Amino acid sequence: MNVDKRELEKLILAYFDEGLNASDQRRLATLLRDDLDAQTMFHSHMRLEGSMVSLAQAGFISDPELEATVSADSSAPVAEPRPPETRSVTLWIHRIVIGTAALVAGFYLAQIMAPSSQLDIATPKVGHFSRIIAAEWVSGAPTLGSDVTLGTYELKSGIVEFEFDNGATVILEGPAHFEVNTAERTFLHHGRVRTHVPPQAYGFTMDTQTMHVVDLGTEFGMEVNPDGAAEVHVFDGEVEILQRQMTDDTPRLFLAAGEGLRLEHSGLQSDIDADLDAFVDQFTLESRAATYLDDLADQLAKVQQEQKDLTKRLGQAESKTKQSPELQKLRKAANLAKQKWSEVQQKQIVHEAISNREKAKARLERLFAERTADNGEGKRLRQQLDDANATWVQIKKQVADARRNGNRISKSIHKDLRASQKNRNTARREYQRFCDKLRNEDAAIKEAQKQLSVARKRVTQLLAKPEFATTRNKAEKRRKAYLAKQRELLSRNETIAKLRRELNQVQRRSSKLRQKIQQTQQAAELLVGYPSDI
Amino acid sequence: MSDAPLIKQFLQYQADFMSYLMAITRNFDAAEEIFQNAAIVVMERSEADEPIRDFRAWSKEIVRRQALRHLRQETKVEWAQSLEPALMEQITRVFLEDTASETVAKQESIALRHCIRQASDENRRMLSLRYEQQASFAEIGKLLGRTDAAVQKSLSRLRKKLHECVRAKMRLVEMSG
Repeated sequence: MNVDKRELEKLILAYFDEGLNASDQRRLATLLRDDLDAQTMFHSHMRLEGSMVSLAQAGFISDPELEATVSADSSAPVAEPRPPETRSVTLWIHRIVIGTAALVAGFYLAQIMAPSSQLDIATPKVGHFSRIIAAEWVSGAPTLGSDVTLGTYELKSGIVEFEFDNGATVILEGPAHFEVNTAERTFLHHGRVRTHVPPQAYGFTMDTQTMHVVDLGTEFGMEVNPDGAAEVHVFDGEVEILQRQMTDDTPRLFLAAGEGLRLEHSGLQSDIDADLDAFVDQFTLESRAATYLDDLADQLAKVQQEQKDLTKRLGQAESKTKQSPELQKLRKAANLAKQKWSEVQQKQIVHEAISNREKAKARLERLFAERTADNGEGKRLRQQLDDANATWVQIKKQVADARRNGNRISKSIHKDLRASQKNRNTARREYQRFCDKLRNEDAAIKEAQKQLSVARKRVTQLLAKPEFATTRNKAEKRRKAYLAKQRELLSRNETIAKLRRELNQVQRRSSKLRQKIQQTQQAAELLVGYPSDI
Repeated sequence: MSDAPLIKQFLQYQADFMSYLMAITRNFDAAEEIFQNAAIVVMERSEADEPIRDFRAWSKEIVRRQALRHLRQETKVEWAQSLEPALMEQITRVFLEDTASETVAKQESIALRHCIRQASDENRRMLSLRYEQQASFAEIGKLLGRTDAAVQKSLSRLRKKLHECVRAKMRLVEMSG
């Protein structure tokens, strides 16, 4: 048995190395038959060969770098390979998210910085909005702190304070139509204002349809009705009134603190007492703001509740849609189609590669067949050359013999000699030409072998990577298309679409309310006493 | 039963199939070609066909048939080494009757990696030339300045050593459970 075993190992090793001749192969077969141990031994050599081939294919034997990675996971031989990219991918995503956040922030910043009212685009700034309480504008919506520029401001309701860069302040009560013409000159079409002008803004003028009120360092209130009738109330200091329909002899009119003037559209003029309480002061501001804030808080609570309800309903509607048997069926179909598609695609590519391989092989076989056939022709030509040579040598010998014997050399022999010489040269040329042809054929065979090897490698590559790049990219595209379709289906559902719209509106309302609350709080300096988180 | 496409399952057994195909063809190109042909057969199997109960056995049979077909066709081609039918029968039997788990094959492959690492640079170069470049003994001899008989002998010895090394490592694995 021991002898058999040694013999067996020798045969196996030889079989896998240089190969065995027919009788040794039969001997090996005999040793393997019905001997489980022998079979086991052969099998382990067989597996060794297989492992060797696959290691070689992975380039492991010659590449020590590969070796390092391979040996690193040897402690867990059958463990799933860890995706080495996870970490960097996460980081990468992280970076994108941060980048996007910065981008989004930048975008909003740009929006905030942008002129908030379409009225004041590209006009110089003359001041800013220092208070905004419950303001409703006809168009545009300046925010607290935003620029006051030259232009028209129409307030439906609420209170707004303009603070000019020269120090003058104008508190405007809606409804009002107010125009800022220069930093020192304004026009009140209608509405109520309370104006404070510090000494450095001396000369600040407010026009109406009927008069010009020039402030000489003071505080005054003014009310203009839509029909043009105007009242001026001076609280402090002095103002000069210039009537529009004034003749040279009209006396200059000055009003002092406590005095007032009413000027009808018709020009009728009457003195009145200044009514301090008729105009906004700090106290009115604060109380108006407080009421308004209460109102806003109520509204916000309602909106928030509404938002909550809508979100819930939207969630329910969406999950209902997602669970709808129709959509589920569609999803399943889309998944299957995707899978099928990628399989078909892959198959097609592999098939093409196989057919290329077969073509390369057929070509090689054809070349071989030609070459084999040409071997026969080569032999024939060689024979022909040998024959021609032999004939020539024979005739030459005849001639030599005749010469030696002093015999006359007949004309016909000379002719034969020449003919045989010619014949011999022709045969040699033919043979050489044919040898060239064979060499060319050999080169072609070598080339065809190379091509076959390339074609074969290509198939293996394709098989080894079932999800090679092109297919994966296309599958990805298809999946995205499907997801888009799914989104479309979801949004096509009317209930959901309606709820989404409603929710969007409510969210907008909510954010507007928050903005207003913030503005009002700041305007009335009532930051204390109201929860800051609303 | 796995839901993965058949071809993926098939590729999982690549090492197993290739070792059989190498054993009967003694030629990497031929083995690769047969493997490719078998893969195509697996790919082409329609889902409408009867379900496969034992995928490994089923695919082994496909590989066997493709190998047989190939050997019949290739006998006329120059590079095919002739294989005695009796030996073909025995090798195929070893292949078909093997039910060792995939884990063993993987462990053996890892063991072999370690064994190759331990080999000398010259031996590794020889292995690389033989298995990666598929060079002939004569070509290796030329590169290493040796006769092809010497190369053949060295490779045979190396092969034996690697086999012993793998067996020793596997015994350790078996002992440690």
